[in-house]
Amino acid sequence: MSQDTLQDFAGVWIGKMSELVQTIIGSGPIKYIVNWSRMYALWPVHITTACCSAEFGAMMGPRLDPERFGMQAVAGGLRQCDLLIVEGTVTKKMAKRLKIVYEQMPKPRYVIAMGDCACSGGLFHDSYSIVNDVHKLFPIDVYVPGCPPRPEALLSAIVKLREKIRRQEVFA
Amino acid sequence: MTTEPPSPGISISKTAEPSTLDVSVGPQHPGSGHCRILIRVDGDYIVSADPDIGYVHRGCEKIAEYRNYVSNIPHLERPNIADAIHLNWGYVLPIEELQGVVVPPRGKYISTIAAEMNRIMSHLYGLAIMQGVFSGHTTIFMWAFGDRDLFIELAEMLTGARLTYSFLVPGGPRRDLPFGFEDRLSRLLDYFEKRLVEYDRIFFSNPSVIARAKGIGVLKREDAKKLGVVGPVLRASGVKYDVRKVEPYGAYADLEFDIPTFEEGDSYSRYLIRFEEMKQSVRIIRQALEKIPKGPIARKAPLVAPEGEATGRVESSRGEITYLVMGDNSDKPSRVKIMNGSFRNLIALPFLVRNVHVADMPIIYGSLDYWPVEADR
Amino acid sequence: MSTAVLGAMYEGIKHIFKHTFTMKYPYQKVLLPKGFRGRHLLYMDKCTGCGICAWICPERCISMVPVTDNKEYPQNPEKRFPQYWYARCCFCHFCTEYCPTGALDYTPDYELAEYDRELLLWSPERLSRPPTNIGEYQSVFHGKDGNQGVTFEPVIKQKSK
Ligand code: SF4
Ligand code: SF4
Ligand code: SF4
Repeated sequence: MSQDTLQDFAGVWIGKMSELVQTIIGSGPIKYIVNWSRMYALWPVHITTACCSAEFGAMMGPRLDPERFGMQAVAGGLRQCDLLIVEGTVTKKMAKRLKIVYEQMPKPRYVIAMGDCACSGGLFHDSYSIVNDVHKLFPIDVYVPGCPPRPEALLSAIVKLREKIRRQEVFA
Repeated sequence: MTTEPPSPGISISKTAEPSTLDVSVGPQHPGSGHCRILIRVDGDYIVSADPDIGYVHRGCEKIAEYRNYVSNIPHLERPNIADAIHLNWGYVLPIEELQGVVVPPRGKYISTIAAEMNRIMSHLYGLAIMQGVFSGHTTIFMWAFGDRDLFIELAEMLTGARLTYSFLVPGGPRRDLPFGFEDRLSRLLDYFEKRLVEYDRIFFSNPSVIARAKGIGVLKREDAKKLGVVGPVLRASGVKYDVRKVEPYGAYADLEFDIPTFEEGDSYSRYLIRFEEMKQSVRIIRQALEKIPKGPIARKAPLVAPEGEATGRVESSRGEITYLVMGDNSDKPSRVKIMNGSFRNLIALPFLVRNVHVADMPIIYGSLDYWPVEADR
Repeated sequence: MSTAVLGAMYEGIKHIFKHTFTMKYPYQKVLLPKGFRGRHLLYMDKCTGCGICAWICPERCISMVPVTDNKEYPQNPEKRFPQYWYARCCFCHFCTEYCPTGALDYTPDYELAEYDRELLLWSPERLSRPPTNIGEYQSVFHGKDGNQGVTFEPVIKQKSK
């Protein structure tokens, strides 16, 4: 047998094995455990794009205390985070940086659009320096309207996002 | 090295000493975002710093030209939602001057109470994030944010929203004091005065905070005047200037209060001045609740303003805010211009962080209580 | 110096024995005051379809749309009602205040998050549904001037005490 055919043979088998492993992990109790761990380790990136950050701070404060859901107030680096909360207006200058931040995050990553500005441009929809369609930069999982949304509204969005994660496939 | 042209306003030269290193702090960093500071470091010392602003420039002043006077209120208070009522008030004052509307005394008192509550909330926000988190003090972050939530509860009772009140329209405030508001507010103030003593013990007299902030970032009296800084930053350098005393608006002429000043001009005195101002705000609210007259709260104001221009000045928690409004006999202003405290205090940052340790920069940045959205508008 | 350190430590440790401030949010909700500016409530039997709300709205998020149901609205023969796009509304409630017939009202609903952006468009029928969010927790000071801490307690319990 030549080396090429051996490699092909090995490649096919590795592919088959990894498929098998994926189906095992993606089904039943293991899927439940994986999703459960993802649900309880939503670490937000700290990039504030505009004034909604005041209510983000209030959500991180003592009254609601999202550490009950395993969210850490200020996680270390981007590489450990899996939740990007777009806190308000995305200007054209910020959009570039936001995209870079999103691309640096490891998968699976989730995005919450917080505030009217992130949903549709909000109060500044007719301004010359605003990106109105944040959903075209990257896919958004949950939209929270409000200007700014109450901290409870943001937390309800996180509860909704957790519901989505609970039902999702492991290898999406 | 980079091929990108330098952003406007950035003056760090491309020719650097071989021992120095350029570092970009932000816009994604663990402190307060939406501002980038380009610093050049030599070892552990900062040689020069350049704030790169404009990440939240939303063109408020331009938008204001194609909305009517009332519709302009929500977006003109968004630049600083921690201190929304002052931005709102500064915009309403010149319109009232143009239209010749006089707010009834009760309306003035209600606005004053709301504004002073907002000052406390804003200083608590600054204490929690700009001073607490930046100096690594998580306890004060939790305490100040918790107490701020109690004030917000009352602000919500009065205005119907947590932060973005849109409470003052030309003619006066939108709502009267609700039933039971005075009782709850005075009970909260009793609680808050006790808390201020605890804040003092855990933060302001804490040797670890004093060691980090005392003597750092000294802004001398002459420099402060020359740079044109305003508000608490100016008063921490020993200049006794407060718009509430110099050009009283609202009900401030009838109320007694002191203007705290400090001589040192360092970060620690800028911390302390906000602490002292909170005490004065408590005093003002107490007096206002006692003296508040009965009567109507607002007058009906026309939707149109005559031709002419007017300015309004208010003392917000980050310094004085000046609005210029030009009317042209229509229901829309022909020009709105905002000058605010954050932008004018940021000018001091490059001077203050020269020749300090890198670790001291967050302290100085936090002591200026800089709110990027307000500076960018 | 050392007394100040001890004082700060004492102040922090003291708080271990006070009441907890945190509210268990999805199960406990704050009681919102009357007039809290949440989403709108539309009384379809009062609205005349004049469109003043759409004129005053700073964000142009109201559009007047015809309604196709079998009911008769004598005050509004064209059956045109406001439709809200909540992805843009800033909850200033100028629309409610400027409505000449009082057809709009405040509600305490604020949990408007959706998975899909299109679902933020609220039709007149959806706006006329009664509010669902009822909170009952309010801050309570314990001890003299709250020196035992602050908690959030149900209002009904407070009254019966
Ligand atoms: S939604 Fe409102 S509060 Fe949030 S960023 Fe936009 S203007 Fe600011
Ligand atoms: S809700 Fe009020 S303002 Fe709006 S169309 Fe109906 S009646 Fe007119
Ligand atoms: S609350 Fe304000 S932004 Fe929302 S629809 Fe009414 S007027 Fe427009």
